[in-house]
Amino acid sequence: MEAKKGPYLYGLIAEFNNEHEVVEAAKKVKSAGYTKTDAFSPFPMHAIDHALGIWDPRIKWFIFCGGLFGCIFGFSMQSYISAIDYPLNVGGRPMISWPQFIPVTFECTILGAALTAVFGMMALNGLPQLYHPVFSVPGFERASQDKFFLYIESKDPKFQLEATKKLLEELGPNAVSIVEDMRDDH
Amino acid sequence: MAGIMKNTDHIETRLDAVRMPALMLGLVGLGACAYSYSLDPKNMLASYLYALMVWVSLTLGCFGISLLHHVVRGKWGLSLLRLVEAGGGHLNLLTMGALFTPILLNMQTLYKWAIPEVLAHDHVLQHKAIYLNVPFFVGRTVFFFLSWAFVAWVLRRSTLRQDETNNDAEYAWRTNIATPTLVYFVLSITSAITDWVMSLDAHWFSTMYGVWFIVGQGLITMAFCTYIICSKRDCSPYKDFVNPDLTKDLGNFMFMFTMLWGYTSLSQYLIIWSGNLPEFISYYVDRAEGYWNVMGAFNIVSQFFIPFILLLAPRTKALPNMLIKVAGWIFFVRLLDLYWNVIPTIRSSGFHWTDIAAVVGIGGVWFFVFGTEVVKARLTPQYDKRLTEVAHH
Amino acid sequence: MATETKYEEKYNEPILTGNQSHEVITDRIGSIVLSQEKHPNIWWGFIAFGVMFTPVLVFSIAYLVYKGIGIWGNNQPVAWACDIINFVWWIGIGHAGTLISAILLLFRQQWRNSINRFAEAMTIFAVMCAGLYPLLHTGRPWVDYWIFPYPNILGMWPQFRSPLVWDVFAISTYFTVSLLFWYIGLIPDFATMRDKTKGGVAQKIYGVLAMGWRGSARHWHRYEASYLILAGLSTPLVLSVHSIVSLDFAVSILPGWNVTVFPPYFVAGAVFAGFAMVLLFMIPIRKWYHLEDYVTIRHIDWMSKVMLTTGLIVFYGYILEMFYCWYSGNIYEIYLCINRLSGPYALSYYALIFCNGIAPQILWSPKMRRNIPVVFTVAIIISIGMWLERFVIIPVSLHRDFLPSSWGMYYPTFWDYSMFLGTMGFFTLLMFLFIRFVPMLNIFEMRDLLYKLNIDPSKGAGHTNVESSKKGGN
Repeated sequence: MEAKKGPYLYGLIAEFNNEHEVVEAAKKVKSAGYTKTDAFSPFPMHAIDHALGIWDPRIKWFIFCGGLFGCIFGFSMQSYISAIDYPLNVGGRPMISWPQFIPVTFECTILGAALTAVFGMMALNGLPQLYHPVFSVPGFERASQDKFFLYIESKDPKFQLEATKKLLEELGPNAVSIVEDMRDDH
Repeated sequence: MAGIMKNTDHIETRLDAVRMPALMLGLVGLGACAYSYSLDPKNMLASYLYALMVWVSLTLGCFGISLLHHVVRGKWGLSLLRLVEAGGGHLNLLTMGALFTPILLNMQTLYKWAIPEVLAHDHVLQHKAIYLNVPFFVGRTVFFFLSWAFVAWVLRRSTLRQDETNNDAEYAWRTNIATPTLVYFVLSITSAITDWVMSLDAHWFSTMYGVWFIVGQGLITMAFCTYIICSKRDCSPYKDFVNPDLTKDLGNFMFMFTMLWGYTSLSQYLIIWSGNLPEFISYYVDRAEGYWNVMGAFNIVSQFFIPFILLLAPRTKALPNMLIKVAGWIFFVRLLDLYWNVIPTIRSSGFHWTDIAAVVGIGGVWFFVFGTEVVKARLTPQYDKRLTEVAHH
Repeated sequence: MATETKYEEKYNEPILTGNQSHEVITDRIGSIVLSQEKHPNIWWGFIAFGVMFTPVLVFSIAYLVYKGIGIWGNNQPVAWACDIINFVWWIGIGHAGTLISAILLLFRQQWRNSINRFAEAMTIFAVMCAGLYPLLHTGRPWVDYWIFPYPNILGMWPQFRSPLVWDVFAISTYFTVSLLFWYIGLIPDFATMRDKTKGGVAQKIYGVLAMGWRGSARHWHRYEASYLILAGLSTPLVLSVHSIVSLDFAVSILPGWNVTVFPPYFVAGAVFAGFAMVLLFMIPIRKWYHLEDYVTIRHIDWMSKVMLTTGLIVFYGYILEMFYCWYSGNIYEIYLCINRLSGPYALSYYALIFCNGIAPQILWSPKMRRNIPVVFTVAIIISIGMWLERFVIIPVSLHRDFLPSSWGMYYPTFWDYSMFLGTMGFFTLLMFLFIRFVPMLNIFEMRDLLYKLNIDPSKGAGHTNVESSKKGGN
């Protein structure tokens, strides 16, 4: 939609030396009104979430539903098998021996919730995604080691290549780079 | 001591306001019990034992949590230390021990194994008689209460001393006392609960029972403390540190104990139900008929599922008002659960008005002692500033 | 806080020492994976042990499948013996991994960060070893898939009222969740390895394993939420797994098995054995790989405390068993105790009491908890003790049950030993391959730890209390 930026420009990224600088910078970028922002850090930082206003509660609800599904599935599967499809008298216990169905129901609940937690997290994060334009940024390999990056997407309504670049440079980064898609077949 | 008593902690919280009304109610309740005893001793003693179990479990839970706090020294423990010190202090332990007298004087009414004629015709009971006999039973109960009260007194003195002197050596001293006591605590309660409740049906036994009872104590105590802390959150000193972090911790402890309660109850039931051996199932057979069955089902839902679902939500643990309701509910359901555990073995007819009279009677005395004790010290330990420090963080 | 440190100083070593920065941490841990030079020669020794004994396992299994489970020593009346003992032993060892990674995360114990990866790997490998036994014990391992409820033309379903079927669900869920938990924790570290390697196959492999992780704050946000919930799910899961293992016994009516306290008692025993095994591996490895800055003496102290606590719970279990056997007044129950104390296997019971009941008591002394040879020795004794515990529970209860005419004895055969040794070799092989190719400490959590300690340095000196290591930063 931002045709004037050209199809290859993804955004601007600034590299910082430590966690405090990047959090301060993030706060300023947020107060400047940018919303399509991101940060890259070698470990999770709540401060950055607060600074950039990152909040996504969906995963918790997904997991809850996954667990609930597992629970209902587990119990009804056992009841169906033991009482309807192949009723079998074991030691004179009732067909639906609920106390003895609890362990499997429980395991199914946990399995449902855990699978949802893992695959839901991946799906929401869009992983696996082996290539991303930020990987082409010089020095970005340090993002997984000891450097911190702040990123503003070109899709942001306030994004202006020059003005945004100037803003980022004023925040005291090591370097500001343009994020572009380097693939030929883009 | 006087200097410390002139503290401002109680001006707003007024936890001692409960004393006189509680004492009144207590005396009325105990009076009603005494009257009822003259009509039907067995009925009254059943109610009385049940009520004792309720308040003893709260007292011992308080004592146990204070021991645990002295061992692990968690920050969460600081917020409720003075409550559990008062609730599980030496005075309450001694009072509960003293209130055992009517039971100890009427062993034969409640415990079949104490009746010589029954004993003479039951070789299993004869086998157990070395352990289950009246003098030993009485001796154990008295000894347990005295020993618990002694340790509670020693630890309480130490925290009060540290409040005044700020001497850090007290910390180590308490840990050294509390750690072995915690071991003794678990063993003694296992023995005590075997005596008081398990031996009501002298043929039945379950190795899980002591664990189950200890978990129940933890649950009722956490509910009790959470209730007080959350309902007094606008009063000094609680207003300085009751924040979402603390309520989350308190909620999580209730959550944990709720799950442990479910875990121990289910394990015991599942194993006994699956084994289906005559000498094991008598306990559940007593509780499987008529309204006992309904009450058991109600207990499962209300003691496990309702608090579980409520406490699973982070929102519940962030809102003190919500947490108060959950804590109150848990406390109430603990009363029902203990009822379901104690009464059916003695009395198959179900509810009797003395049940309430006894709970109110002993509870009144309990709250009177609690109110008396709790105002004798600051509501938070003064020597450890971690609570308020984090509030400013 | 300040008031407390005076007393605490004496025994309160920091949980992270040395001159640390994000770069140093990344390099110290990451470089172990990237270069063979960082590995001492003894690494080859253990690999050799693994390579030697894994074939023993393979051959034992092959012969078992060829010949049938009659080659083991178990037969009526002792139908369950070494296979189930080893199954329970291995699965118990695995539990420490989940406990360290999940429960301590929930309790916000920062000391877990440097040992959780290692312990989780142990969990996965131990569960693999454990799972072999019941699968083989079915007798026809080639149709083991029958135990899963899938619609089939045989019209056959599992019998859901049997604890053995619960076991299948518990162990397979446990394995799946542990693997996922471990892998999720590894993704950011795989990304680090991808970025640290300079091209080549290694980079490609780490790149694929990292799945394109780029450390985005939006990703971290969901990652943390999901990781924390996984920890929350793993905690009841780990309790349930060993509880269900205990129900394999407790649901029966055999004296010595039909014990209501079995579930928590087994869980405590599992944690006890698991921590012993973590220490057995961690103590030499921190020395060989110079990780003393990350796995400090305080970690060892903490793990010893956990061992002491769980050991006391286990001991409480022994007391309960003995007391209620007597209290029951049931002749079979009473005979069980007599047989344990004076039967043909009495020695194993006394050895058990020594190993699990008496030896760990030395850990009451803070000085002994910091004495590495002592802790190491105690850990060995506990590992043996926990094997003995299962021996006392399983064959000793089985060999003399209700009818004296059906009593018998149990002696393990060569194949019982070879298979146990084989699983040990297999486990060692996997552990040392893991050390070679996967960052054995959680790098990003160590950075996180450093970050939090920097926010509040007083927490670095730390307290020995549960909540002091509260997360900062918000």
